[in-house]
Amino acid sequence: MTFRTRMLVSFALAVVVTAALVTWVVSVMTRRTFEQADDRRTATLVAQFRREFERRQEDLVRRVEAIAAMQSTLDMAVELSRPEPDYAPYVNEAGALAAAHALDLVELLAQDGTIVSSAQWPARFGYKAEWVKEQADWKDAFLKSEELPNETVLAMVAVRAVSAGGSNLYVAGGYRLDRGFLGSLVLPAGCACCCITISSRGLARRRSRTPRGRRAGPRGWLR
Amino acid sequence: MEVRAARALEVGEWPMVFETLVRLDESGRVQPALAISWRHDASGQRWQFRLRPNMKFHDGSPLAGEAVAAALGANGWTCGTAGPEVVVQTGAPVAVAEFADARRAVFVRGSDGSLQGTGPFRLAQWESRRATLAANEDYWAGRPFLDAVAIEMGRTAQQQLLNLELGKADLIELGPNDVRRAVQSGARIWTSAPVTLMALRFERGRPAAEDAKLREALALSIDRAAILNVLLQRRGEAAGGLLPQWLSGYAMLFSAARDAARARQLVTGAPLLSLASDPADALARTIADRIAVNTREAGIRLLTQAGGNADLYLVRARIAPPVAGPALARLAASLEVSDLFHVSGPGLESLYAGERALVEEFRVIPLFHLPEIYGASPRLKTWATPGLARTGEWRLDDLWLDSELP
Repeated sequence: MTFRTRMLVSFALAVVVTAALVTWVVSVMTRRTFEQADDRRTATLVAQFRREFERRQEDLVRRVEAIAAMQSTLDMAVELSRPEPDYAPYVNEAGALAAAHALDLVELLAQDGTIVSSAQWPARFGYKAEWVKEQADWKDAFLKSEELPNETVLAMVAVRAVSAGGSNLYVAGGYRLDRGFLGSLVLPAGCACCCITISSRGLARRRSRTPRGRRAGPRGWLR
Repeated sequence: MEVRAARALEVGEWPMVFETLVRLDESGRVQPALAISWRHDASGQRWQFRLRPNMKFHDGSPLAGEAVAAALGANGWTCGTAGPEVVVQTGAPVAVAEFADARRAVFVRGSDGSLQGTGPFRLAQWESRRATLAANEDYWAGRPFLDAVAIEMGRTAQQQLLNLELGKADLIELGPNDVRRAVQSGARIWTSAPVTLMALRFERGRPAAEDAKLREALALSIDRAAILNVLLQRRGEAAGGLLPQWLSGYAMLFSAARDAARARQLVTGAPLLSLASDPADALARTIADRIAVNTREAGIRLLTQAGGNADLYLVRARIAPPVAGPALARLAASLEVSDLFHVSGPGLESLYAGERALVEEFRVIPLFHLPEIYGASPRLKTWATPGLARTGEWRLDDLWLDSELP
């Protein structure tokens, strides 16, 4: 091999290696930049979703507080604070309150957790809901598995206590986290949320639509 | 006046139009009505009634013994006349109170085919959901105070309450949940004795109906007290037997208590059952839901539905007083368990034994005895007695309107 040939091969090899190196560096840099941008966008969307979710939680808390602040609720609390209270006159109250305050779930519970009235399951009056006694001072809304006559659903629930005569009447209100709820969330363009529930009957997925009305990809899952 | 259910144009449905030979007063004592006296033979199977003189049907035709015999003969009895008296051969011993049964009322067909009675009101107009009664000017006990009564049928509870509040109706039929609102709007509440049985009836031929342990477990799992106190607002009685206490006198011997632990012992792995209730009866639907909650604790899953075919039905059956034995037989027939009802002889003990045997089959599970409840507007006046008899019949002849109030 002549010197000229060796020089040519060396030069060609150097060019190829340099080109490959530059290509790889550019590719890596570009991918990283895109990933960072995508992560930032995802974080922004998730933050927006969380803000929207928190806004709905605050809205729920306001509605439940409004029920708790009603004079009729206070009157009920006074009546139910008496020894051996009569729950019968209030059995249909929760249904009326749920309709008036646009809530899916409303339950009125006595000091010992006895269900006085239930909008979501009217026939369950008189049974105990022990969970309401777990906290003395309920604050934020929270997610809770809610048993209904023929199914168990995930719900966003807030609780407020109305004190009278040394005992509490608990007002528990909430929304079902179903397709209707997810669809009512104000989400940024290109964002959708899904709610996956796993029951004994298998996997169920509830999915919202994008603001444009088409199904979006699985970004921003709420589990 | 407004009521929820439509009433058929049958003599038994309109006691203020069609009268019986005798009637029962508020104490349950037999009083003369179309007949002024009566006697019977030693066996209690042959009865002779002397009719009130100078009586006329609403169309002006005279109340003759032959017409009375023909009307009573429609009930399967052999009837005829003997001079001024009507003779009835019942074929079995009966009490005189059975002649006060509204379905044994006296009527004739008029020349136009219409039914003619002798009561304080005559049927002036009849449509499917509206009846107008006009005062009988020649009524033997004196003309009623009201000139006419318009009865609207098939109205919902909400419509009725609204019309009562607006002064468009003076007497409405109420459900237990409507009483409080009616009282708040100034209405007076008239309540009869419990005259309706609410019960669960198993559908024959379905696998669930043939499982005796499952039937008993279901009966034991129901918390009647909670339903009565809350959903029925204490308007009625928990029922362990078919007949109410006021009619039989022995209803307290039937237990209506819940025994969830025993119910759980009786069944393991019960199939999913369906429970149907009347789609038009919101209260029944709520009670059905509550029963499903109760039975779930005993391991029996009930799927409630409005109407349709089902393993179980939540039904209402009207109890037809005034005599316990025939009332129980009719009740068994309406609940489709006549084949299980046997009475070995006359007397209350035999009747009790027959009812107990029927109830312990658990093919029908008695739940509640419910009264008729009516709300009367403040301007509707009456003498000492309310406008509703103990047996749930309307007493419209003693009512009048105070025109000074709106």
